[in-house]
Amino acid sequence: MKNSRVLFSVPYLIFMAVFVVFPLGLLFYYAFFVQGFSLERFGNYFSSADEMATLFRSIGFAFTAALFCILIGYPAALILARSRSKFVPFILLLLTAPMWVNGLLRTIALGELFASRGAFMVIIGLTMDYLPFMLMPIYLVLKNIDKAYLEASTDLGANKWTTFYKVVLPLSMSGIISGFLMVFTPAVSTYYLSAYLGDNTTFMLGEELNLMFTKNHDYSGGAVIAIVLLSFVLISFFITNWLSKLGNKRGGII
Amino acid sequence: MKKYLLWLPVVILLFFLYLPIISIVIKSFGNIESFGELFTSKKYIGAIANTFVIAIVSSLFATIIATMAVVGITKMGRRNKTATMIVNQLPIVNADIVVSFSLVLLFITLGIYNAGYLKLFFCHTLIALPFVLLTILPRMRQLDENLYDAALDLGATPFGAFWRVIIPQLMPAIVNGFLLGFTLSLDDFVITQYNNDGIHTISTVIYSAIAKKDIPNVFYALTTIIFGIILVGLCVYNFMFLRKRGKQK
Amino acid sequence: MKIIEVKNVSKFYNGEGAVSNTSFTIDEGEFVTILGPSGSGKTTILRMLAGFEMASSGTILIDGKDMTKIPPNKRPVNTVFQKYALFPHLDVFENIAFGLKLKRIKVNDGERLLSVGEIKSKVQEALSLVGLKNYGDRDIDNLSGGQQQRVAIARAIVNEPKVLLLDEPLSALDLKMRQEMRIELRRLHKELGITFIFVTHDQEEAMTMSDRIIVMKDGIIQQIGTPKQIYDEPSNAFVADFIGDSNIIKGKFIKDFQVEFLGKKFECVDKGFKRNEIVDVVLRPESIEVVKKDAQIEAKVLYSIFEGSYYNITVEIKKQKLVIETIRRYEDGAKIGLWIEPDEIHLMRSNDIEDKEENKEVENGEE
Repeated sequence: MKNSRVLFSVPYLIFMAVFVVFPLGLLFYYAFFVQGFSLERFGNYFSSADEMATLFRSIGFAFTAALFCILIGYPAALILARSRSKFVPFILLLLTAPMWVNGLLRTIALGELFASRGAFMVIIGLTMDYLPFMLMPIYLVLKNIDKAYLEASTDLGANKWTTFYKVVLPLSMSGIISGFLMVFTPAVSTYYLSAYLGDNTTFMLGEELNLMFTKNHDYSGGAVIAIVLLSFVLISFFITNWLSKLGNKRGGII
Repeated sequence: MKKYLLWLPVVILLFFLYLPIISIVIKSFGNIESFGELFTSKKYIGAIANTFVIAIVSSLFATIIATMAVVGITKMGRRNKTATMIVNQLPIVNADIVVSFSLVLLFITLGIYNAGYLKLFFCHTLIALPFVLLTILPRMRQLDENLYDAALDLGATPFGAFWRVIIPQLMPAIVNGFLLGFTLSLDDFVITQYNNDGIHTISTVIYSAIAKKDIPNVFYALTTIIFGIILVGLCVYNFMFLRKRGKQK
Repeated sequence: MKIIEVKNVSKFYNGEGAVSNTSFTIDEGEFVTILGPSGSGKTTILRMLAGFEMASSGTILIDGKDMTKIPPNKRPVNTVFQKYALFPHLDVFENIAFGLKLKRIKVNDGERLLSVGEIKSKVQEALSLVGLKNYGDRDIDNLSGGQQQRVAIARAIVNEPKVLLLDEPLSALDLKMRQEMRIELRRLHKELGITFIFVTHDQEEAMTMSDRIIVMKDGIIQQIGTPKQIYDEPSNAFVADFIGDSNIIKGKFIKDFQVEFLGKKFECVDKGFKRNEIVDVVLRPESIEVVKKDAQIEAKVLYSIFEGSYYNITVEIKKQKLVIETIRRYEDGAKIGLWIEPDEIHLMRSNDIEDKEENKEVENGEE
């Protein structure tokens, strides 16, 4: 009888197997098996100056955008988390509302507002698109900091600034890291945003993948890039794990 | 006075976030006919209809599968549960391009061509499914774990227990999940673009216009409408649900 | 030497009084417990002493200085929090050192921070004092509840405060730990020689640990006194009921040293009430004796509960229930004789409105 309940998840499992697991396998297949197992495609990829340029450019843009998100998002999250105003939930909704508007339209809107094109616009666009993803984790962590820690800190002699620097900031680190990864990972794989808001110096990984697929019909090449993008996800997963273990030990992260 | 000054960063932030959208909205009002064009031109109506139909049907399907899955997952052994949750996370954490691309490879391998509606149906179900699951699962965990067994004990069949006991308890989460799936589907571009075999949704229509570097005014109108709906929805939500809580502590 | 003076302090939240017009003083070196049920205002008072809440009205003097409006980080007091509030991102050493790193000490014509060596030795001293000598580099989440408690205490006392405030620090511990910690805290108090102000709802704790107890209810002080004073001479029914077990029944004061209750006249040691005044009679369960002959009154046993070293039996006399502690067991339904020593009968002014009405009539000469 107990087993009958687990069976309820079968449709889901079949669906995921067919549409997630199997395709992922195909991805690996196309990347690693040209004629038999071979790292040739990867070799080509990592030795191509152009492709490496695109890779590092994408990382650079995404990183910069994430940084801007932290610089803008953290203070805002702090203000909102501290505030006792009843408008805070509403403001949070306002801040996340743009996410619901179609991404393409938002990109167009930005492009129509400012005529310039290039790296700067791409970074601005990324920052604006993903800011809510930075704000929310930080806000949630800040909100969950037990008031008792703040009281203990002042009880022991710290003023507001010291309490922030020594208690609030370290305790909110996990939110910052979480937010950073939630911005970086999609930003690094962006495709129409960099195409529309950029110029011919801002060629990014997403655009490259699109090119491989639509123009070149180079599925292996595309798979290689897809795997590179996938590995960003894996790396960020390990970083999160490693940092959370580190954060538990003495000294915090600062 | 100082208190209001504190809100400055937030205000500036809101300003920047909304600047593009607001400017588009303003522009759209300068061209009222474009609103009409949106609803009369065959090209756009078709796309809009497609978008909504696909969103509703696939989200519905995803919700059904997810609801059933939730019942099973909560009874899985620890390792199976972890494995399932990891698999569930895969489409979420991966860039939509990666997911699209993998789906393209899938359809090629299965030899499915020219089946736009079918492909889009499955693709959009995939878009919605992981998120719907994550919406319903916590609610399931909150329920007394003996409910299902209690129903069986009283003579219900597994399906009967599911239908009469579990689902009513999960209803709010199910509705939330469906709405979430619906919204995600509406918003999708990349996956649709790669797998649509010519079928147009709102997103692909917009994209084909951008590709030609020609933005018809219709899109301003579209932005305004979408934004208007969201704004109204937010205000309704705020006044109905949030005001009840009163002042935050 | 008064270290704390609270003068007419009140605290209101949205018009409701959490603390109303409270005044008391505490001498240097005392161990004072503020005791009361939840909602009595005891924690509010502690937080006002610490500085986490500002009094709505009244003054608070600490060591002679007006600290009513001073923020917590500038007061010479430290708090041990109910759930310890140990910083999770710092280890034991860093937690204890937290306050020390911020301390400024006066040197000649200026101030300086403590040196690394000074901090280290003070922290180690504090750790030894609480019995956690080599725990400096442990992580907080590797500690048991009792150990976390001690770290919280160490973190507070290492700053050498004039007053140590403890907010129900033992409530999260199991019984055995609690009993151990009570002894620990008394020992620390003796060794450090500073003032301890302890908040709890556990009257047994208050009785065993304190030099003096402040009993509170609904934001108002009910009684201040030594544990013995409060136990032997509770000032009203609430205190009598809250402290220890007691039987409180209605009686009538006949004349000095005589009171009538349960239909009989008893000799007692109180005087000064009005003739025929309705009073509350307090009888502790352990002070009612069961006798075989020369009983003052007869009662019927309803039921007994075995408490380990004694029995708690409930008896009935003239529809009034009493709780008595006995060494022996008695059958349900048995009839037993009771005897009460005169000085075990404690009379209190009645606070009941009806009694007050009746007593007014008595005053006016009616019977």
